[in-house]
Amino acid sequence: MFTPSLIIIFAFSIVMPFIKFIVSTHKIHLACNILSIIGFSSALIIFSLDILEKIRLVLQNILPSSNPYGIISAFDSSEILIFLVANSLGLLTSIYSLKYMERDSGLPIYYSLLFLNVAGILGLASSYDFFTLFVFWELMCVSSYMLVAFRKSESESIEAGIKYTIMSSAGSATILFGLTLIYTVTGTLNFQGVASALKAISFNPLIYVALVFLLVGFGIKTALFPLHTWLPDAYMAAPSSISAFMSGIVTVTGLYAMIRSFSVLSYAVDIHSIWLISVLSVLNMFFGNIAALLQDDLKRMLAYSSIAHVGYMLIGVSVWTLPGITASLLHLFNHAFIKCVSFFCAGAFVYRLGTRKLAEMHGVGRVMPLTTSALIISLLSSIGMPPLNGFISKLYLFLASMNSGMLWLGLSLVINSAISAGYYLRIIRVLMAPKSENMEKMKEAPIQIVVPIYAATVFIIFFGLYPDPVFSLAQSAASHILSLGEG
Amino acid sequence: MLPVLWYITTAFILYSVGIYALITKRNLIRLILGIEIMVNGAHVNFIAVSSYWKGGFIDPSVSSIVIISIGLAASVSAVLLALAYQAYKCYRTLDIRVMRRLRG
Repeated sequence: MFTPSLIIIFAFSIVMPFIKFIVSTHKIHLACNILSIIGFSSALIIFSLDILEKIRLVLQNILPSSNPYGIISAFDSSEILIFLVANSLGLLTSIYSLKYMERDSGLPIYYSLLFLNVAGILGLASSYDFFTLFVFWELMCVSSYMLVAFRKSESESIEAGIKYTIMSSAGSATILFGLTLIYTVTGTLNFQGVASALKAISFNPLIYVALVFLLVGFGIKTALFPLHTWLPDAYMAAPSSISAFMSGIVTVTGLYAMIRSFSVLSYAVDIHSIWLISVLSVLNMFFGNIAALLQDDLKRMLAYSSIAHVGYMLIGVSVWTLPGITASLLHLFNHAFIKCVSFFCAGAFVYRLGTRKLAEMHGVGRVMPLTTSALIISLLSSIGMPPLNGFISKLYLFLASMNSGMLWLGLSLVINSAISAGYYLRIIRVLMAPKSENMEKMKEAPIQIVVPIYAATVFIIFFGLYPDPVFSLAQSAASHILSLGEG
Repeated sequence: MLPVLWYITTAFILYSVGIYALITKRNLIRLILGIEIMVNGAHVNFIAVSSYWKGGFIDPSVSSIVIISIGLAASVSAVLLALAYQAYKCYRTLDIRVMRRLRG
């Protein structure tokens, strides 16, 4: 039982590779692009029609009832959040790819994999069974391996792809082993069944082992500190459109899956008392920010900052209260659009200048003012400047950590925001510096690149000024996730 | 019949063999085999435990889960083998020590 929008996404991913038998070779990219824009927009429209009533209820704080299907559910509020992020990032990425990927070949496969990736994320967000979650997880992982290594003639991207694939599939095997341990303890993999079985048993050390296995397995994809080594390489070597999509949603889906499965296990384990998660959160923040300070490559710097942002989101998981999870999901939503704009702008510089090195970008702000101002907005939001959306979610993360007696997490968030200002402001200074001589004949990025950048920038500003709708969405999603195991 | 803990231990040993291969081996094909061994350890555990939950009866949903999971592992190996082929075309070797241009 799939939801209609998921069926649309799957249908487009299947149809896409056959385009090349219908359309002539030199028009194939345009055809695929238009088809993928149609696909994502129609999925978004049908989804909105489906959930209009639901969103109205959510905004009035009337929580939806539990799902009747067990395996693949009807919509619930936690799915709405992920669906909106994944589908709008997919739409923006496919608009952006029209110009950015014009020099590549094999584009039907590219769009097909993008659709499969979104389908994996959507299925994962609506799963009510550990194995369903795992199947969609693998769907998302396999398509993202191929997308990272998409430019198969470049040794750099093949190397990053191999590193990413080996680490991440070892993580998937670890998750599967964790699931077998959960099955060993409870005898089922259904969320409700696992929860009721865990309520019945008193204490079993295997469930702690399973929790650690799940933490490591999802942590590889989420880039927790000692397991992060694939991330900077993969984001640097992938096409910028894919870096934006992956940084925006694929990485944090690992965090979402972690929250979802921990909430089921929390009937036997007190997540709040596991200090390992909070230590990992602090390590992630400090490591990500300090490593980013040392980079001279724009995309690598953004990749390390993404590791730091995962650390911020883990604050909410480690406090494990309703405000904490709400703040994490809110930051997930905001971070998606912030990182999307940042990587799109970095990609626009790569498209025009052909370099990722910060040192060769002196004065690019004077020739590409539109792209640069969007990048500056997203970087300021990433630091946490008040009128932008990064501030809102960091504020809620701080409040959540303070209210549950883990003030040191909140303080390290503040310290790390200050550290991160160091490199973000350095990027801004380089962009606004006087023009170097190789900038003379440069011009603004093409309109097909500027439009998706500004579409996402509007979200950054709008949800900074008016965060209420997404906040109540995140709150209802969090309360839904925390009550996953109940009947 | 052996106690179920024996099977869990065997599965865990298989998983550890896979991790060991990933850490120590330098050939890309061996790494792929290591991942396969890890996944198969999990499968062994699944199948063994499924027969212990109800006496004389094997949980059929677990068999279907393991069959699907074998398919997933095969697709991951297919991707990895394709990447290994492309890596061989780029570097003319499968030794991952050579693939060190990126710094991690």
